[in-house]
Amino acid sequence: MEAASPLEAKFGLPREVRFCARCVISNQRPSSTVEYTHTRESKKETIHFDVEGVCAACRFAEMKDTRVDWGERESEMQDLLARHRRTDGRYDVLVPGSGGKDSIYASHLLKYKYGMNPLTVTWAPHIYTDVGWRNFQSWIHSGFDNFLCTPNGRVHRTLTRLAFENLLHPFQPFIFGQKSLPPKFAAMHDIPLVIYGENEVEYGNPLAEAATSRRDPRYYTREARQEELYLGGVSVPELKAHGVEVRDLEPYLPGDPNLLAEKKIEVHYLGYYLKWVPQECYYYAVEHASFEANTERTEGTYSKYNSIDDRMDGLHYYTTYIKFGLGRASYDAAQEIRNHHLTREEGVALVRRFDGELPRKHLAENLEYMGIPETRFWEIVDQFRSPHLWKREGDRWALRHQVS
Amino acid sequence: MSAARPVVVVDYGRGNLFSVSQAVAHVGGEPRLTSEPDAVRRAERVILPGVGAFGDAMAGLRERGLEDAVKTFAAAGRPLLGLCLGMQLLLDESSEFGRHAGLGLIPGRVERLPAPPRAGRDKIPNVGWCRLEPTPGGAPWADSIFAGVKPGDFAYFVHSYTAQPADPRHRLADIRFAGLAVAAAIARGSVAGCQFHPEKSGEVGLAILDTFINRA
Repeated sequence: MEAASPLEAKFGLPREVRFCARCVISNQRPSSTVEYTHTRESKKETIHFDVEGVCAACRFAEMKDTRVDWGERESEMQDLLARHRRTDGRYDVLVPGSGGKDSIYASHLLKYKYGMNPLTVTWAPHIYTDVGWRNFQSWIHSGFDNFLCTPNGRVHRTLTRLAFENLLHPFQPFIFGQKSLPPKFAAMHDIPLVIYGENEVEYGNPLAEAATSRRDPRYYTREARQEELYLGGVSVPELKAHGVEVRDLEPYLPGDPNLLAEKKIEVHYLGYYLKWVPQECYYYAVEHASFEANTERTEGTYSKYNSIDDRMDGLHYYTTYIKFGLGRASYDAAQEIRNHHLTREEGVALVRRFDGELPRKHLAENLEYMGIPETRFWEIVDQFRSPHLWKREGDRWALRHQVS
Repeated sequence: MSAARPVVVVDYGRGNLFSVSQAVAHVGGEPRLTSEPDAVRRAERVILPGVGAFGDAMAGLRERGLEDAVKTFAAAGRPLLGLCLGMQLLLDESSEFGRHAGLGLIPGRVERLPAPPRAGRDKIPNVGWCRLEPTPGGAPWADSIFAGVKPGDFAYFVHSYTAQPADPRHRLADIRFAGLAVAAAIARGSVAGCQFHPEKSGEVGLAILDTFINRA
């Protein structure tokens, strides 16, 4: 007889799969990582579960409901804004965003409620959806100046392919720009204050990060030498073999900490100062910037207004389903349970119905974008299935653990 | 326009009352959330919401002295509307996680939904939109909270248990589940209940709340 040996857990994930007692997230959910050190060998930090079996994101939500003095937080923000407000017509706050519900909410409040003069900066998605492009335009036309930075398509495709092959993480090139570009832009334009929307703690990063309004600079600065920086799991010098030179990497590389310190760049989250409720941001964005939800349900979930501007979004969430057993419906339902829009029972039913649905709509285009044939796509996907999460049932793969 | 009619929403610490309050206000009522037994006894209209387990909900009511308050209120013939689990609480007893006594305002019991066939579409819990149909031999809709509902209208359900009134005349509407008729709404005198969530059922749900608040 075969001994019951423990199944291998890839990526340093916890061997024993547990689901939060309050929401539908499992203990396999990784925290945000510093992407510049992300390689095939990286071990993930994962969301913390306490003795009552409640995840850190639910504890954070509870804290927002019961212990945070939001009046106090707002006056802290007023002090911050007062320190930065300019009256000579120059921009005084840089707001990174896509023109989705969260960036509309942040920029609109800062300008029209708090009297700031924001410059908005957008790091383009891999491939705009039609509704995403319309929302981006509506945002600008609701009253904002905007810089749109679109990366070199050849380089972006190569990095996306490498990130997919090496890390099953095709969204990684977007994340580089999303985190690193705005502080660099702020330095360039002499706007010391950068304000993002929500904090990653909302989704389960370590609670210690909730104690501050500032983004940890290790996400966007680095003094490291080039050989210690990895993009798509490949070090900068080795990227040369893939046709990507150092000069191609300006928008992806982290900022120089000395320059950012000298320019006194501060990166804050609005979610620290104002209670962040995604559904409320959606309503606000519809009312103030004519934001449009999709006409149909997003593949892999039940929602219509979250992350709808990039044709790669669906594939991104599909890869999290493969690697961690958590697809798009899990993330959406967990968040909506924490914000009291869904009960856990509803969330469980939605996850069981929609999680892991293959995002077929843009799949062919995604593959063409990365230059990967479909058979190769599935070979790569299967390499990233961790034995402790997946088992083979006949000719299909099945998750060993599902939320219930 | 007349002044907004006050509607007492019973808060017994189980579940989120935000959607209920918003829906009540939307149809022109004035929602008053309370856990005070006296406020319930004195109310003109009461909504009893609820999500979760039956026994736990009854314990929540009892702890706050609300069980007697709701019974006293209903005995006076004033309008009471139970929503979802709040509807199930109106009956005599439930078999959810053991035997639990309910409020006994409508004779009958609460039992688990019938087991759906494996290959079928229906699943427990029943989560989603289902068509409302009049119960054959049940209470007529015209003078009820369903005055503004048409047969075949959809409402939003989340439940694993179902109310079974002893007297079919206390049934107002049904849905089809696992090939059987399952109670969607019940009514007896001034007491009514919806298994679905009118506060999450769009125009149809708002029409029901509007009738309950403004015409009943």
